[in-house]
This record gives sequence, structure tokens and C-alpha cells, in this order.
Amino acid sequence: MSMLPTFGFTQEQVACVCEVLQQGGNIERLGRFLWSLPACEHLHKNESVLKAKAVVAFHRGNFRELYKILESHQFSPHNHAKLQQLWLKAHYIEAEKLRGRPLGAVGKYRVRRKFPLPRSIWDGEETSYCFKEKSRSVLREWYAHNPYPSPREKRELAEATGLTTTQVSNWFKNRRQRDRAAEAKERENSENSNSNSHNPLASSLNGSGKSVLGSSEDEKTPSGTPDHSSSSPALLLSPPRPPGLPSLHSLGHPPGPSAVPVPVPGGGGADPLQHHHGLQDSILNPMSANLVDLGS
Amino acid sequence: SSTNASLISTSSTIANIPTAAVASISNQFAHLKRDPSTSPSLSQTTPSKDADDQSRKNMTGKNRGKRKADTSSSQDSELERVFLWDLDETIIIFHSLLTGSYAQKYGKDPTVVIGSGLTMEEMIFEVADTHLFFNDLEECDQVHVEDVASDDNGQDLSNYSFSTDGFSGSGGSGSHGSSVGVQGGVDWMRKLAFRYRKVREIYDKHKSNVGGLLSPQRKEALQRLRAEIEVLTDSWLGTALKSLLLIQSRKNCVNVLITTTQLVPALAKVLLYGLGEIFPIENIYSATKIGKESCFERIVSRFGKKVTYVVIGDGRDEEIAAKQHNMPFWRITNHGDLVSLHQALELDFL
Repeated sequence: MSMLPTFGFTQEQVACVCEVLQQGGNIERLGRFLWSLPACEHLHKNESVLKAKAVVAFHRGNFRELYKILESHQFSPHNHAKLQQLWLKAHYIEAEKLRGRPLGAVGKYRVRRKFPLPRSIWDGEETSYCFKEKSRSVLREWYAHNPYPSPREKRELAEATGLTTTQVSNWFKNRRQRDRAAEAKERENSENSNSNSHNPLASSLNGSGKSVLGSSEDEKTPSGTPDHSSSSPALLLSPPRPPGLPSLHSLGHPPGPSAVPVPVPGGGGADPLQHHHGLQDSILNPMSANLVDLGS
Repeated sequence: SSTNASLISTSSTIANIPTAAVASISNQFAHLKRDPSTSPSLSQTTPSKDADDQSRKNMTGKNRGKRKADTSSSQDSELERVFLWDLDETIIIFHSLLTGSYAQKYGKDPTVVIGSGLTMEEMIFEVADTHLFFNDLEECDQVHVEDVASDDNGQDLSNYSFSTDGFSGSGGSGSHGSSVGVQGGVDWMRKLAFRYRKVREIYDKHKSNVGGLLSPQRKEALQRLRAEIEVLTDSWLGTALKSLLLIQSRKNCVNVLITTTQLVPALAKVLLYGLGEIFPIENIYSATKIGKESCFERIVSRFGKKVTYVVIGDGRDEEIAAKQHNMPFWRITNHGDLVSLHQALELDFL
């Protein structure tokens, strides 16, 4: 095949051919076309051409090349979906080869965690959840002022979110478990850093810390200290407001404590680690106690 | 761009385009039978299109906007590519002849160019008025020739007198007759349908030989005019025809025409420029009323989403419509683009 004719194609025409062959699923022809293109750098940086190359690389099982292309160039959003699919499929296939068996949902999840989408083909927005954002935000707000809804409340939540009560129950159960795990991990992290700093002072300071700061907050909750391991977030939270439909519909910022079981007065979803430092800072410098933003 | 004289045979019949697949001359009556085996078309998807037309005829109500996807998929399973062509300034040069912009762009003598344009325009409207009821139909323009078929009762029109049937183009009840048609009344709609049926018959009959519609002098004048335009435009039509014919020769590809000219004059244009064999009448759409984007939507409903669509035009509406439907777009701004298109087709890249 003569190389000459292809020099007659404009970049726009090249892009058009790439699109046509891709849409038509004619990957062999596409590969042949790409191979025939002149070695013009500008042409080979064209997004349609790169997309085509990615598709061909995938089709040929040339995954190294595929990943390289996907990571090398910032693709425009309208191409993200397709390219993400290529990335994921390729990784799934490689994982399956290693395992020797097809991948189940959990296996694929692990692959996605291990090989996160590069930002060149992903805008950073979380990938699709099972539940709509609307439902999830209702659940989150409700969790914020009561992580233990009663059966009746769960029914109301189910109605408000369009989910089943089982789904609502599971969501809360999982959320509590994950918060617990996150908190335990944070505590572990902070303990590690505590043991690196002025230690003996820390524990006694922390012991009195809560009363120093507790008065400056409108929190009534007796909060655990950093050293206490809290078993359940419920202990940290004040009794819930009277539940019922009104509260589901008017979920403004709850005056009650937040969901995050940070063992510091002044809830909010702030980083627990930050709080610990803040606590220590304010203890050491009482005058600045109120200035420390604990309730971010 | 080379002149392919054999495609524009000025020595023989005007609209004859010699191709390997030309159907026999006895296709004149085939349109009456609607039998795929005798169907007078070079496009292999005609059988499925006939079925599509039949299903449209059977549809009740004025649901013109809701064309069903063509479900006679046995033929369609072969179809892979649908090429959506713009007419003016893509396949033919006409409008820019009139405005003088072609003359300006390519350094031609504007008087000659505009003169040719005017002569062609005159012929187009002559054919449209005399043979295609344009006087009657101008106010009730349709997108597609089959759009009013559901109001047809199928009666024999061989002795029907169109000139004395009392049809008025502006609609029976005074309101604009070109919309849904309720205003026009059943009787009016039926007469409208007869006209479009007749238009279809005439198109099918003369698509290989528009000279049959003209007097010998006019026929000769048309021959000269077309040759003249071909020279003036450096064989624009001839170059476009290479691609059109190549597509037509493939079983899995089809040419569709979408123009912003009104349907009836567009049909006249197609006949006069000798494109009747390339575009069966059911593959011609006028976007005047609904716009290109809606036209594309109709076409996608017809051929389905499994085929790949390629839009070919000189820009503006078709480019935007293509983008909106995520269809690849091949821009035609000069001869070179037509040549490249043909090359891409020949090399099997499209």
C-alpha cells in the first residue's frame, strides 16, 4: 500500500476516519490506517488519533502500550467514559490471567483499588455508587444526627430515599462499621505520633483537656479523650432530636454533634489528628484555646 | 481533480450514469409493484426501505414525527455504513453559482457563472412547477415523500385530473395547511397524498432519464448547461460522483441525501443534475421544516444504531447536527476534500 495518499489527508480527515472505524468496530482497518499515517508529531498528538491507538492497542492485547497512551495525554471529558472502560477491562483481563479464573465483583473491585484511574482519563469524581447522590445525602444527613435509626425511622428513610428498609439498614450498619474502623485507624496513627512527642505530659494534659475546652463549646457531650478507645460512636453523641418526618425534611446543619466520633468536644468532621494537635496546643496555651478552630 | 468524462456523458442521454449496476430500462413499472426483485434501484437496501414505507403507510394518525426503526432487519443486518450527504456545495454547485461566490473563490468569470446558475435555477423551477406540483405543494412542504402516504387511499390515478380536483395549496380551511393537516380536512389531505404519490411515480420513472420530462430543445439545453457547469466547476459533480458510486457499489453502504432545499425543488435538482440513480426517492429528506438535527434523528430511527453514520457536507448545519449525534463529519470545502474522500473510500478507510 502506497504511503502517498495519506499525506493528502488533513488532520480533521484523519480524525474522521479514526472515528468512523472505531464506531464501526473495524479495528483491523483502523490499525492499518494508523500504521499508514506519516510520522508527524502533531498528528500523533491528536486526540482522535490517540484514542484510536488506544483502542487498537487494547484490541491487540498490547496493554503496556495502552496504559502508556492513556496516561500520557490529557483527554477531553467526552472521551473519558470509553477510555476508562479500556483501562479497567485491560486490568481485569490481566488480573484474570494471573488468577487463572474469571474475576467476580469483589475481584474487580480490588483491581480498581489497585490500579486507580489516571487523572488523564478521569476527572476525580467518585465512580458510580449504588445509590443516587440524592439518596446518599439524605442518609448522610440523618446519620449525622443519629447513626441508630429506629425501625420506624428506617421505614421513613426508605420512603424518603426510594430504597428498601433493608438497604437503609445495611447502609447504616456499614457506615457505622466504617466510621469505627476509620476512627480506630486514626487513633492508631495519632498514638504513633504521640509516642514520638512529649509523652508523659500528653496523657495528663489530655486528661484535663476536656474540661478546659468543654466549657467553651456548646457541646454537652462528655467526650472521650484521645487515649480512650471509644467503642461506639453513640456514646459520644447526645440523644437525638425527636425523630419523625419533620426532621427528615428539614435536615439543616444539626446542632447536635456530628457523626464523626472525634473524641474532642466540638464535633464537625474535622480531621481527628488535627483536633489532637489543637487540643495540645490549646492546653499549652490556654489563652489561645478559644482561637483554635476545633469545630471545623 | 481529474475530469471523468464518462460519468458525465454529454453525448448520450443526459441523466444516464453508466455503472455496472444499472437496472434494466423496464424499471418504469416496478415502482407500482414494490417487489424487491424488480425494484428499480441500485441501492441494495431498497427492499428494507420499501418495508419501511409500507409500515409507514399502515400507521394511523399523523404521527409523522415518530418513525419506527426499520425492523425488517434481515436486509439491514448487512448494512454497516450510512453516508449522510448534503446537496448544495457538497455534491453539486448551485447556490454559489448564483451568488457569485464560486466565481470569486475560484477566479471564474462571474457573468458566465451567474448566468449558468440562473439558467439552471429556471429549469429547476420549471420542472418542479410543471411536473411535480410545486405550485400546489409549496405551502405544504414535507420532509419526506412518504410523509403524507397515510392519508392516501390507494385509488388508481391513471385518469385522475389534478388540475381540476379543487386542491388549493394553502389548505382548505384558510389556516396554513402545511402542519399536522387537521385543518385541511380529510379530503384535502387525500388530494395532497395523491400529489406526493404522483411525484414519486414521476421521479421513479425519470430518474435515469430526466430528458423524458423535457422537450427536445430543453433537453438539449440541459445537456449543454450541465457540461458548461461541469467545466466551470472543474468537474465538481464528477468528483463527488466517484465517491457516491463507490459507496453505492458496496452492499453494506448506503447514500442518503439531506438538503435544506424544499423537497419538491430538491427532487427537481436531483433529477436535473443526473443524481436520480444514486438517490432513490425514499432516501431524500428535506430539512427545511425541521432542521438537520431532527432529520438525522429520523434517519437514525430508520436505520438503527448499529450502523455507523458518516456526515458529509460543507459545514454549518450539518456539522452541528453531526456533533449532536456524535457522528463523524467529513468537511467539503474544495475539490481536494472530495478527492480525499474518494481516496479514503478506495483505500477502505471509510
